[in-house]
Amino acid sequence: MKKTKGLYEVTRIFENNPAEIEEEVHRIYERIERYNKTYFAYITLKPITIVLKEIRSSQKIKGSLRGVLVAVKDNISTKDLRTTCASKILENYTPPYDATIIKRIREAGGIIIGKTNLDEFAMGSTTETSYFGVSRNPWNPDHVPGGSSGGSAVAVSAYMTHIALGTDTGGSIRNPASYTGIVGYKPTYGFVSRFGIIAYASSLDQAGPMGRNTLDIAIMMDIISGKDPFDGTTIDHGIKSFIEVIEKIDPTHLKNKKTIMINEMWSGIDRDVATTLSNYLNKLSSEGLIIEERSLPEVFYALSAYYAIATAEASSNLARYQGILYGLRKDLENKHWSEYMSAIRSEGFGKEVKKRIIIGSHLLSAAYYEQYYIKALKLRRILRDKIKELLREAVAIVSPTTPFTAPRIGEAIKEPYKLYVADLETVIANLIGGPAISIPAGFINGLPIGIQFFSYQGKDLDILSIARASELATGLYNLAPF
Amino acid sequence: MSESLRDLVKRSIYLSMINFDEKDLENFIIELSHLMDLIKKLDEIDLGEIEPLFFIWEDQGSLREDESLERSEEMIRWLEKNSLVENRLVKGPKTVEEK
Repeated sequence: MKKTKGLYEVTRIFENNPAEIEEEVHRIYERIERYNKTYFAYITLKPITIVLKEIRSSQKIKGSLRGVLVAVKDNISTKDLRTTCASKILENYTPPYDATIIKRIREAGGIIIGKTNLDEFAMGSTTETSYFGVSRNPWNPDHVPGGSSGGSAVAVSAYMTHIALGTDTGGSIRNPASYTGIVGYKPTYGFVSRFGIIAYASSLDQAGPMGRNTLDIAIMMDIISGKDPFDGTTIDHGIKSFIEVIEKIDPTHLKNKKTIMINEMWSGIDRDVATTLSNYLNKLSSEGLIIEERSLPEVFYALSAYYAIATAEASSNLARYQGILYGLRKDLENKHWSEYMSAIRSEGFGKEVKKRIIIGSHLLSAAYYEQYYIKALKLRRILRDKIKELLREAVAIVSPTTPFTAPRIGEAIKEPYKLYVADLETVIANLIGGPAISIPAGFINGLPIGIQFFSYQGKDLDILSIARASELATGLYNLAPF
Repeated sequence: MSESLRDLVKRSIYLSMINFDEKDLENFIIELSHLMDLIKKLDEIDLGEIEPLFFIWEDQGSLREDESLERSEEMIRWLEKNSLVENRLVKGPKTVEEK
């Protein structure tokens, strides 16, 4: 199997030989030149001349990301690059400030290379709702790379960056990680600042890294996580260093560690996916991992609760796009203000976004607020408490990341139900606010498929440790499609 | 589709400040119903008096002082750069009063 370098190795090469940094930038830009037209990772790419200039001017920075190129999902604010959310309504919007996580990356010596494609406002799991067009899966261009952080996944998978940032509201980091054979990590809600991240559903959104192995994720978590005075929902996690813990992990870590399979999360997945993941788990069991089955029938309602909460919060968050302060704006004479705003929103938003805003407005109306929105929040408490109970003697819940491999382009968008059920396995971690990771677990007809580990809030080191031990035990990391 | 549901959807569309012509509306309502059917599964369960969980960290989180930051000046400069401000007032798009 073809393999490539991870960020961990790259940072050590740069540390020992700083002259290598500029050569590496040229190599990566050559790949972008060759592949971006086909696979469409980047909506906006910083010119190489500016990147080289930034590298030269940051030579005195001793941070752990010195010389590292970072691709950023295009719903994270960057003051030097437009931030479109893959929407017509923000097509020409350049924010006046950096998101906290961008500021921290720059302070650590990282270079923002470009902004990656996504489903419009992160609503979707294929990138097909992007105003700028669909991204393609590097393992097979007839298939989607997943979403919504699909462009970031493509950039990492096809080695068009060292590392990428995504955001995850219901699986938007883990889903494309599964489809493209990379590692995608959603940290505990509150571990990473959301300041400067364009909101979809504020109580579910969380940013996280996407890389080639779990060490890469740990390096990034040391930079981007931690309390931020600009985001009142961030918490002080008290973890001194992610990488110092994770780099010491080896496959023996799996011995006698207990994990839980929730039966309801394994029903209804494709047969090939079930077979591949079961082979993978057999390998981990042979290393000493204990896997126990449990039932949690409330899981069947998790997807409904997720869409009730996400659409309700989206309808409120997206109310700000009305063509006055920023974004799409026109002089529409002979229009009343309300007509003006409706005209801008109708032209600026795509179909999926409109659908979710309208449903959210509907659910927040007096007649349905209790019936759906509040009920969804009650279910969220039940799920959180029951999962906490399940994890009393186990380190993680193990499940598929996605019920199937990457759909063909056009397949999911024509059949919207398929678009929604793709989130079936991932939304639970968002609802309970816990950490969740997708790591590569095998291939089906040449397409990668991921496996997910998730846990209760604050148990991030448990999840990263078990993921690291699993990837070392199976050798499935640093995968390269070409 | 019942007339009452259609009216309900039209009302939500109005509240969302989004326009549809009648032809697009019919197709759109069908598509909306896929997502709404998924959410309506919640009707199958009765969760009684359980307290809703709005935010995960119920006992943590803090609010900063509500004070004016330098960022406001930054914002004005940005708006000026983009020709959106005149005499420190935000310029609206050109429209006319309702007749």
